[in-house]
Amino acid sequence: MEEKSNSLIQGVIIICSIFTLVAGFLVSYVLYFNKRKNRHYQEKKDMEALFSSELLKTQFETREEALTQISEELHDHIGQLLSSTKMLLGITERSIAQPPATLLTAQETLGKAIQDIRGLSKALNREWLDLFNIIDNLQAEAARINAGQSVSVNLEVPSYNLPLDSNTQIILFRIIQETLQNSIKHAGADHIDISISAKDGLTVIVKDDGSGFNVDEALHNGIGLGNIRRRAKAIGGEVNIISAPGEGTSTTIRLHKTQSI
Amino acid sequence: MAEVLALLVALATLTSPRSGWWRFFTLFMALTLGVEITGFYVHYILNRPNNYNVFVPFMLVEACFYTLILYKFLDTVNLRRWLLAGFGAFLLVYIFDLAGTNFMSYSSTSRISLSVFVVLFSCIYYRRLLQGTVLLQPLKYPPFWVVTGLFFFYFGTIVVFCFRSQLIRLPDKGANVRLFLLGALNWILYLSWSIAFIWKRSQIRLSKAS
Repeated sequence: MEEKSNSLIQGVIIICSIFTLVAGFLVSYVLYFNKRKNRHYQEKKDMEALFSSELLKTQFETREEALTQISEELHDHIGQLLSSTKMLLGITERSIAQPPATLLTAQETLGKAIQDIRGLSKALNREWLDLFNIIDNLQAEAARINAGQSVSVNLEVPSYNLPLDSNTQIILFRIIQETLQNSIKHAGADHIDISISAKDGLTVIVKDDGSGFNVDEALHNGIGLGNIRRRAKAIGGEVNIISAPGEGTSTTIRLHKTQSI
Repeated sequence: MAEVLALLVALATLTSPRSGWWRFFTLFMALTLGVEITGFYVHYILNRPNNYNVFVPFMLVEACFYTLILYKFLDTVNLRRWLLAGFGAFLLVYIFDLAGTNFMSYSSTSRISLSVFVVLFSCIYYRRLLQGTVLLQPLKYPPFWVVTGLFFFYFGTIVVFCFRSQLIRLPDKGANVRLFLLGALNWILYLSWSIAFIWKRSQIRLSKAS
């Protein structure tokens, strides 16, 4: 009887231990597969981020290549044609004893057009922009727009160079360029203020006195603002746009950390 | 002791209104402790060998509470329906089992069916956890610890309750083994729950800070 009860107790303890071990094994299995699943999702996420970054890089390079081609075309072809025309006008002016005022005005206008095209060609050319830092390039861009005399651009920049790599500088410059174009073309602004401060990262504020717009609607319908945001994100930044119809627009670009693409 | 520890941890971690329905754990732990003390009092102080009339009604409270827990942790409507159906099935077994013994003895069949119910839905919970697309660290996830405690306890106690009638026939050794095994599994259950409460508190603090 004693032996029987002992074997029953032993049996219960052994079976209970086996059940507990099986439970432990099942929980370990869940933990192990969850770890594998997490690793798989993390790898997938990393790959998606890498793909997105590569895609953006390709888009950026393609765009820069297209802009450089346009710049070269403007400089080498149209610029040359205009220069030849200006030269011919000069020859005509010198061959006439009393050249008409319209000829002189045409020559002056043509000279201005040649200058504008040179400026635009430089603003579009990546290789040219790479020769200078973003502040020099922005000053040149502001001067180019101010030369048109229809819009005035005021630039407030720090006196020291910004610690940005070449790609980040170009992307940031393109973002500011696109913002300026939006202010001039779409908002019909008369005055644009650009300020750059390098406290706690880098902050660029572009403020205009244009017609303004509904930001929510523009974000859903427009492509330009989406492009600006995507590009800012690619260099580790964010864009905040404050605007309302009739109240101008303020675009703030913040780079917390710079990241190369 | 394990119940006291879990109750103290629950009181220290889950009393904030931000704990939501998790505050029911405090109530449940207090109720569990009350039932254990009453059972002890009936058995050892009043010297009545059977204290089933304390534990059998409490089994229903346990089943309701575990159904609530699993209902909250399972994320699809379909699984929740199955859970309620499972609870309904347990209820039927419980009523028939009690009616069969004229409410005069401990109902091992009900206890085993509760164990099967909890173990089955714990496995379904684990399956859902592995199927989920959210990156999750189970060891820092309170529901995982709650379900793991339940899973260990009810999986282990299936054996104890299957052999209950044989063990009862061995007055000294049988009772000791039963108490030892249930005690050990109790510690696993309530330690797991205590860890869950601590992680829950940490989550609440983090969400408060952010």
